[in-house]
Amino acid sequence: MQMRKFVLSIAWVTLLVALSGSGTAVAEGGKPTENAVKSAMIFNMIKFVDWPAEALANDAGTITVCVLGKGGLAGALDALQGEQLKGRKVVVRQIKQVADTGNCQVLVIGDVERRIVTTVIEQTRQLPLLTISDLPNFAQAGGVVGFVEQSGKIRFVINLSASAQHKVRIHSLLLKMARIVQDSQ
Amino acid sequence: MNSFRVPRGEISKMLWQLSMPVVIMLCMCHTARADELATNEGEDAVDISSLSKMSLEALMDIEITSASRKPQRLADVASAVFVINQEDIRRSGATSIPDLLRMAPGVQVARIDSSKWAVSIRGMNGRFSNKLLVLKDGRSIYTPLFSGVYWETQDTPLEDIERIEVIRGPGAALWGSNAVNGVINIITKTSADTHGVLVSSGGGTFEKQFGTVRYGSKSGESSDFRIYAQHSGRGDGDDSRGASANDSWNISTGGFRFDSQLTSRDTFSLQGDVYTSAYNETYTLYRLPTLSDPTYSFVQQASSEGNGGNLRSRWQRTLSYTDSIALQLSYDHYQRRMVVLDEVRDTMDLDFQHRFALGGRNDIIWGAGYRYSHDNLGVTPYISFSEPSKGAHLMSGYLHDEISLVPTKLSLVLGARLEYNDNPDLAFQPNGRLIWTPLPQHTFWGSVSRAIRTPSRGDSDITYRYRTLPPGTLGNPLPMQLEIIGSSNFASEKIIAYELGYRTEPFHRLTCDVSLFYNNYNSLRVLQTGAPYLLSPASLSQPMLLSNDMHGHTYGYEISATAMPYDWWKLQLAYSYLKSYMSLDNGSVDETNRSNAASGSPRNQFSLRSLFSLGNQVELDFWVRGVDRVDSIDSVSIAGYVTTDIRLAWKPARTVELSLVGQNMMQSRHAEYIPEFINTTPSEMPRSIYGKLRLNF
Repeated sequence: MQMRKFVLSIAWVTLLVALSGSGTAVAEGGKPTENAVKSAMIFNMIKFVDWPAEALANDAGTITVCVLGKGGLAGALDALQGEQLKGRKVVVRQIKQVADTGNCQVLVIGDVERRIVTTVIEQTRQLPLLTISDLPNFAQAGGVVGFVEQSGKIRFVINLSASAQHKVRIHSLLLKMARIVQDSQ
Repeated sequence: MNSFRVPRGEISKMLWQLSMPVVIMLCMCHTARADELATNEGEDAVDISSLSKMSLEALMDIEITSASRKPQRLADVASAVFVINQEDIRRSGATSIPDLLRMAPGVQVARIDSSKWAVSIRGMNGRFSNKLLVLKDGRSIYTPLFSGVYWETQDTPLEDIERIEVIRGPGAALWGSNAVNGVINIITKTSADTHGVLVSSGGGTFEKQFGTVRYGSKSGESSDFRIYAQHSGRGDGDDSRGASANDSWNISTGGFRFDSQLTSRDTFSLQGDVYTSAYNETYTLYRLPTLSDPTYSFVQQASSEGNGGNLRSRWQRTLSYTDSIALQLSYDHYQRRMVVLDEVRDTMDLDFQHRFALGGRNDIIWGAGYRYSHDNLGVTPYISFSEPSKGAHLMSGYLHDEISLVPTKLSLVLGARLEYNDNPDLAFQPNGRLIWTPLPQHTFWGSVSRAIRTPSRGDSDITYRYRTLPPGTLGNPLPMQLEIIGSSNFASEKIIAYELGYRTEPFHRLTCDVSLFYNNYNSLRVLQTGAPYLLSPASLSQPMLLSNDMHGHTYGYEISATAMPYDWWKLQLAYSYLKSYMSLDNGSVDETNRSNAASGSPRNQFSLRSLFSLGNQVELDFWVRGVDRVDSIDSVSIAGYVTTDIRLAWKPARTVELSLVGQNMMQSRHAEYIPEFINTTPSEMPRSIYGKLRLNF
């Protein structure tokens, strides 16, 4: 009986402490959200990727990150808007369909239906695009960069065959940090 | 909502206990609303400008808060799904898979003694409950002996589990027979996720001692592996007077997993486990009196054994994002040595699956499977089988189409599975599901499905001499032995289930899930009294024949909600309501099995978990559970209970975690269940404490 009262008292005290507004003081401040980390990683990855000259020619001065789908990763990318990279300004643009990928250098696929992913991969195969998503098995299915979670940390998979098709060159320093997949032939 | 029925004196205590979750829920809704405003202001934006300046290596080293992650597109699923992820597992303090399942809505979990559990979904619980399909990494782990699971031998290291998906309602169209009331899918991490060394060890008052060692690494360019060994020793439960119940047990398990990315499109995995276990149990056994020993029953303390191993290989080719094929081959061997039965079983299972998109609107999965299970059953004075050794084939094929009627808004799922085995019933198990997502945060779904429970080996072949009545009972002049006799005519048990569900994410960090069901059962198993005959001049036998002479229905609902008012506080509530009605057919008078099916599961259940991440890497987690009275299991009723687990953990360094867990803290002990069918002595769950140290580097 004593035990139960003790336990309940602890529960109440904890609850009151938690609700009394001193909460922020004990909050676990250090951990950024998963999507924030992924966005920052995308920003950093771009530094290690070269596009063919014609992909950047028509729109000098910017690197355009196009976002397909809403929610999840897609929502966090707005923060990159206006940042400087390789002497260019980052432009983040929400697109509604594959046909709108015209001026994009990076295509991030957020929370979309499975069959849309297939369509996107197939229809953009020949375009100079760095495709990125955190949908499961994205790189294995023909995307260039797929995020995976491993023991609470973010890792990424790069599909070399896909990057060759998209004609984007990925620096070996980035490859070293990635898990690599490529077609056997 | 019906109130819990508990002894009168308990009511005021319960009000006190119940007020806590209510207050928490009220606060939860309030804070979720306030938080919604705060986070939309661009919580991510604040992080990113500083994060972007970090190197990729540093970013890869950041530990993220998994709890904030959205479950894997639950919005798309047209059934009642609940996912237990690794964070939930770690912070539950639970040390076994059945105990983890207590947090899922609609799941009945009751510990019978130290090593035995009764687990079911949406009712019909029992140690030998047989309407649940349990898969581990896609490999079915039910035994064809009684169509149930030996939970005590499923001792996968909990650290290796990626998630447990609990699907209420029939899943037979996709998964096959026995997925009558639900499917539980235990999914372990791929070996790429378990690099390094893990040492986890501890002990306490009931969880006597346990330890896990795991090592994982890369193996070549594109492969990974892990190996592990684990041992745990559980102590004795208490009997109803508080004395030791002599039911301690221990199990040692070892295993490995290897995953390889053969090409960009092909993955291969191979995994296996072996285990050896020994457990104490106390039987009450019946016999015919002899001159030297004129008693009718005796109590025997026994030590039983269970040993086994399994191997699973899986190859998967990803052809495109919507197009993949998978081939899985698995083998399982086990043997159990008990006073009442010896069992050796070998099972081989081959499964093929192809998923592809058709015409932009159809997401199709089809597959075929073959399973062969062979057993060797020893004869004891209590249980024997008409054929002591037998092999059984099972062939199946299935087709599943998810048709997008209005893209992203409305989908129809049609599917069916056909199974063929030695049983004369053609097992046709279709289902139809409709899923409507008018707005991204709101999902409605409904389904109608038919499933069957195929006859187990026990149903068709068993003879179980379970009781001896002394002369004079029921007007018999002689001692009478009661025998349960299986029947080769025993048919499949059938269900037609109707379900409705609604899932919503009204605020950024609040998700709610409600589901309703109505299950209609037919041809359920009961006993029919046969004609008594003379065993010897001095004794009678009364055969009790297994027959399909019960029908009935159950209905109920489940509510679950998860809220994360702050990054450092997560709340999870599950509530379940269940009502069952059963009627006997064709003159059966088997009131015991009728009331087991109708009243062997609690009507109300709740689970409330509160997870605090306090500062300085300290976690404080509470888990309050309430389970209603069980009206009748083998004519015994079990009182309802409310209890609490508490976990306090501290990570002084990234590689070290110390935790202290108190289980069942609210009372010195409580009873949860008794075993039906086999007469072993149940025990009560004591209040207990254990400490644990985990190193991961």
